[in-house]
Amino acid sequence: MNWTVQILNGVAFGLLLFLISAGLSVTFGVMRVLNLNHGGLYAIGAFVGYSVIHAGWGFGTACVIAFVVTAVIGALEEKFLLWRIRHDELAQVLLTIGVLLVISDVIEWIWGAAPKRVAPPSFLSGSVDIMGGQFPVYRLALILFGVVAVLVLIFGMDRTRLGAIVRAGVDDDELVRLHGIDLHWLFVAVFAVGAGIAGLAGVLGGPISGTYVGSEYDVLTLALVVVVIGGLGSIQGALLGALFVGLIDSLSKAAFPEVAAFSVYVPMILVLVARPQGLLVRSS
Amino acid sequence: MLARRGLSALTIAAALTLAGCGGGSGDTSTAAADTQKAPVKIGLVLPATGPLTPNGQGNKDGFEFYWDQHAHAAGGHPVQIVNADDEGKPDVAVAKVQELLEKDKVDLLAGFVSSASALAARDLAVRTQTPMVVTQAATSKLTSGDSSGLVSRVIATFEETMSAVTRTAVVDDGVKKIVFMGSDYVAGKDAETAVKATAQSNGATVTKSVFAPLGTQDFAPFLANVTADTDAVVAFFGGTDAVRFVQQYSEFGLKGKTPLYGHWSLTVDPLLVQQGKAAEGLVTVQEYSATIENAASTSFIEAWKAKNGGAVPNAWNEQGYVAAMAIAAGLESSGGAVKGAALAKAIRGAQIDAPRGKVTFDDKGQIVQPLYIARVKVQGSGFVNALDPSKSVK
Repeated sequence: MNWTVQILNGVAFGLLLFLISAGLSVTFGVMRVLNLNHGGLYAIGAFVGYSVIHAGWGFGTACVIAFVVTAVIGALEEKFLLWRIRHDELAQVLLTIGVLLVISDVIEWIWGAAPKRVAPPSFLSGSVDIMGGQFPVYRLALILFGVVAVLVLIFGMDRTRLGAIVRAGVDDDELVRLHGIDLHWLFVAVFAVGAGIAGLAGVLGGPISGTYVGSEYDVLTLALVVVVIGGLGSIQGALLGALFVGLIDSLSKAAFPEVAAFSVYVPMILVLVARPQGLLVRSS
Repeated sequence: MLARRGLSALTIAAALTLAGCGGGSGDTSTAAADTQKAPVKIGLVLPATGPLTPNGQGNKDGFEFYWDQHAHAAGGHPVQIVNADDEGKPDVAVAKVQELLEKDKVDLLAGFVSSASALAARDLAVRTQTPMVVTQAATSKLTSGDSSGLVSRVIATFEETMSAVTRTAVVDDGVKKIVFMGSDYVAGKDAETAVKATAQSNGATVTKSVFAPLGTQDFAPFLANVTADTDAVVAFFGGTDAVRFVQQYSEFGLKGKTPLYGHWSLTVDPLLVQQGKAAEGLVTVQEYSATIENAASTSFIEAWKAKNGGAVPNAWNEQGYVAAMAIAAGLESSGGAVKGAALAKAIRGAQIDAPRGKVTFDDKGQIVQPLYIARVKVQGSGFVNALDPSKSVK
């Protein structure tokens, strides 16, 4: 197997990680709300998507339904649980870990403990030749989708009125309120979008990173590594962190399979030592 | 995944506390027989969570099928089964086995898919003098280094299976340079030792050994170690890992270039259905297949089909079934002993007419049985592990 294939594979995994952690980066970094249940939202999306696909409704429908379901759950979580404790990060940590544990058990109760298999849609199955190696079509499609998502999110955050309000609301919520904007509902909306994207990533990640009970914890760990490396609060930071982790993970497993179990944590520790604020940080 | 470990330890601790307060854990099947003889309680420890779940479920179905067939009794003793889920992890296995021994007071332990779990449980079995009948954990260490006389096992060791399939690759197919790939725990290491030794004594070399953690979702990066000058890959993976490994081996273009050889757990029938064309041509060593023709196999298959809506039993089901047969034979010949070394000795003395053929146990409790080499071929609309009758390797 050649290195072009490994690099592409790292980019595909990195863009998947970006979708998983974009919501976490924005809600934690911009809104200062730490939701450790982010992994749970990914897993709910993954399992809901599995059920929709097995009901015969197709992969695309599964993505849409998973997005909507996790967005609603995320909105409810923010509206009824997190808003009350929005200035207390320790309370947020305890509460959201509790929610994560409950969601993990509920998933096992509904779907059972056996890992599920989610196959790519049939028109994206198979492989293509790339520079003398073979690469699955599904992962190429994922790269394409990831790039589009990156552009849409950066545009949304930096160039739209909604993005401007979100950024302003964090820096000076009094001023935003004076303009007649309801900050509570704004936070709920942003939270819902972040949750929905994580749920969508659950379906998209199925054929690559698996649909299994316990993925909520694995994914949460990776998302936190991404956010730590990329820095909080910017879409660009999440993208940089995600690509970095995706490539390190792929290339280190290929070059030194012996260190596979901890290869992504080494760069995280190095970044924490050298640049505790992360590689890219939103200037305040 | 430090966070996950911490969290799951927390979950387990909470779950154990709850189970302790609640009184009953696991689902218990009650004995039907109203005999006067002492009842026997069997603790069946199999993974129902994590990558080895399909293996555990297969064993459980086969084990329960036998007792359903025989009115939950053997030698006049009513038999009761207490299920426990070890998640394929040794730390969980220890907690669950302790609970079975102390709270449920089981007389016998059965099951075990993960070799690490089985090794951890053996220490507890030895300390409490509890007989142990292993369905699937195949590390050589389980029986070869054991002088307790308590352990019996109904499948071949990695030493036997991996040597057999490596010999086929090297001696029959002329393979010189091998890359070994396996799960990163005691089972994979054991399999690697056997592959290396066999390759060396037949003039071939293992150029690289690659271990992927149990539960690996994406094997693509690990596959980069299969360089162009590799003649063959010899592999051991189980459960959902095996499905992903075989599929990704094909997706990343290695299938047509570098032949793949492996342990039976790589292409056991229920996994082969999911792997489909990706597994075509794969060569494995097999212990049981529904294509084996003998009277015991035929009646097993017919009874299984009648109960399971025409489905054909797979190798996992047969292992569970044979483990139950061995326990039943032990209970019938133990002279009334339903626990301890006496029962273990009676189980080891069993001569069983199993679906895979007539089997006995050696003085270490290891099953003595035939092995077969198989190749995945098209049959009808699907794929099968076609046994090669000219290659009975033992």
